[in-house]
Amino acid sequence: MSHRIVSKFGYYSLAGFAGSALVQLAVIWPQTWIAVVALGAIALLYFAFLLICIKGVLKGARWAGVLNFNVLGVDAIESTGIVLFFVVGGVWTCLQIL
Amino acid sequence: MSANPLVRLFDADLNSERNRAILRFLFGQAGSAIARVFPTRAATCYSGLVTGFALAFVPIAKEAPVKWTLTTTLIGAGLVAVSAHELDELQDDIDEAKQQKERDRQLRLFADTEAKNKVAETNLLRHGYELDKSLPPELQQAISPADAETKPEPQADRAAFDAAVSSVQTGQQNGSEEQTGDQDAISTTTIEGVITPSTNFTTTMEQIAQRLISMTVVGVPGAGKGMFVSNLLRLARAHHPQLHIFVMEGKGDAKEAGYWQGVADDIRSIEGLGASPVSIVAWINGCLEDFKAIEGPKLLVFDEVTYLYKVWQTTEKDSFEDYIQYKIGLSSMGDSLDNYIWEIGQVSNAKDLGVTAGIRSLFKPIAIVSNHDRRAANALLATQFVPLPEEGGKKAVMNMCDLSPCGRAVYDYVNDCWQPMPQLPNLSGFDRDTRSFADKEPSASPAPTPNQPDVRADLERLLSVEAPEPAREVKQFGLTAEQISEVQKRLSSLQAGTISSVKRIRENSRLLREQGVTQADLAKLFDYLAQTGAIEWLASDQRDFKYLGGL
Repeated sequence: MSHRIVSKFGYYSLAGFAGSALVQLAVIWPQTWIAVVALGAIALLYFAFLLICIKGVLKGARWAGVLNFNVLGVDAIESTGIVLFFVVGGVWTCLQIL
Repeated sequence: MSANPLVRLFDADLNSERNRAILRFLFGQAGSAIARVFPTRAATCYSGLVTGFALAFVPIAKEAPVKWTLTTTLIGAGLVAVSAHELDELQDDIDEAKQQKERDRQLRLFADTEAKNKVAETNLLRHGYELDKSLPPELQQAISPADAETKPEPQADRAAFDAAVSSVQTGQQNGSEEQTGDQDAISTTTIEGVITPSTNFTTTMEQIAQRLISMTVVGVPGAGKGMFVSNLLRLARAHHPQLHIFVMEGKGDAKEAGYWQGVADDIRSIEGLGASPVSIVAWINGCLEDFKAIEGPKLLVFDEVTYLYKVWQTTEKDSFEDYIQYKIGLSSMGDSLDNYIWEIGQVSNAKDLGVTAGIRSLFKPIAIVSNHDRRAANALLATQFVPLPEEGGKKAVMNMCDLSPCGRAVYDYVNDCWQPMPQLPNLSGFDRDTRSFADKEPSASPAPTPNQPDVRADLERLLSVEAPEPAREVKQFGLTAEQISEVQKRLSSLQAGTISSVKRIRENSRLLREQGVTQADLAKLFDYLAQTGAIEWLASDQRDFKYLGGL
């Protein structure tokens, strides 16, 4: 197995730790909940946008054809992974602490 | 490395010698133990990664106070970041090392096939037989005792040469009145009797001489292109007495002047390697103007085109393009005008000849390869210039070389096939195979032994594959010729870049084992091979080596 894969996994984990740290910070300093909610909303919007795009591409919609965004490309998967890790890290920490 | 201390910290090779020394300095014996825990850079990175994950997750899972968990999460995240970055760098270094290794291999192969050929070619052009003097003195000393033993072969060649000259002189006495010199004598009688072995190829040469056509003669250096063309010219002269033969040769080697003397009407010569590109191009243009001005049937023999065309193309492309057009015109209309060009060169790649493959094919091909330089022969055979035999391919051609009395095979457009080349008279008086001069004067006594040992010829003969070796007990490098040949055969079977050892070569050969050849004996030969660039020692103990090709 290439060291590169493990390295990537380490970088994605950092997103998870960031989500977790943000939730923990919010427990100590409640004002941070605003940031948690805001980032959570952005993450939801991201997934909603992604789903709409994938649907449009699969249906062959005209508007999807003009998207300069390869939803099934490596970059899209990587960014999705980062958002996912961030959300999972935060949610898992919430469940553990609260 | 960056000046930023944070980046420097991240880029730090945790397992470097320097860091190990720091660990030992700080922690003494414990420092060595720490260094042993991380024997490799990868182990250090993975340890950091696992520790980072543990620090980030375990406190949360254990429901520790939030302040603690936040601290450990941040520390863990930092460790993971450093470790992931280090792993990324590690993989970069590994990839880079792999690429560098591949680049080195390619460079070695390139140097082996192209640069070494070029150097050999240049040395031959510039120094001829004097190349021997570049060998180390101790090696010359080691080989010099064999000098007396190597004489029988040149004597045999010399005997054939003397016999040819004798037959010429007999012919002269019987009635020839118009001889202008020895070379004329050779040329007139060559047709009748000098090429005595009545082989297919001598018949082919007669056919080529009778029915002239523009052609390209290619062959590796020393393959016998000049010898072939000089003999062919004499046949052509006999069949076409009115033909104006115009020779342009870019070597300027006095030793090979005999090829053209007595048969060519015009001989233009330039020492290509010594002259400047501008003067070479001026010389070519001047020669071509003179050739074009000749009226009636004419033949241009253009020797050393590989080098001259290259210089010409890079120096004055316009006039080169004009010449190519002239060539194309000759290939289509020259036959009816009795105007021909024979190009003689070392490569057959259309690009090197400055033309497209289509234009190259307008000139009929003749190719000569010899078994003295199998690698160069293989390179020539790998081109599309001449077809290979349907059965056997390159191997069949090399077998023909082995069948030939002069170790050469030739492809000609007349028969469209390869055949062993017969022994042709050497009209230059200088034998490049043995690097020896053949006396022009016939003599009944054997040739005198030269004072200087012919080191290179002796080595080439000893290292040549399957060369019939006279039964004798002379030893070089502490080995008999048969044993050296065996070693050479073993090395030839290796791929370039293969790592092997002297011991393995010895143990893989039944002959060497049975004859009790020791590694010490072999080491002398391998020392020589290392000097010639055929192998490269991997360590100072001179047991393991890397085969670089070249045999």
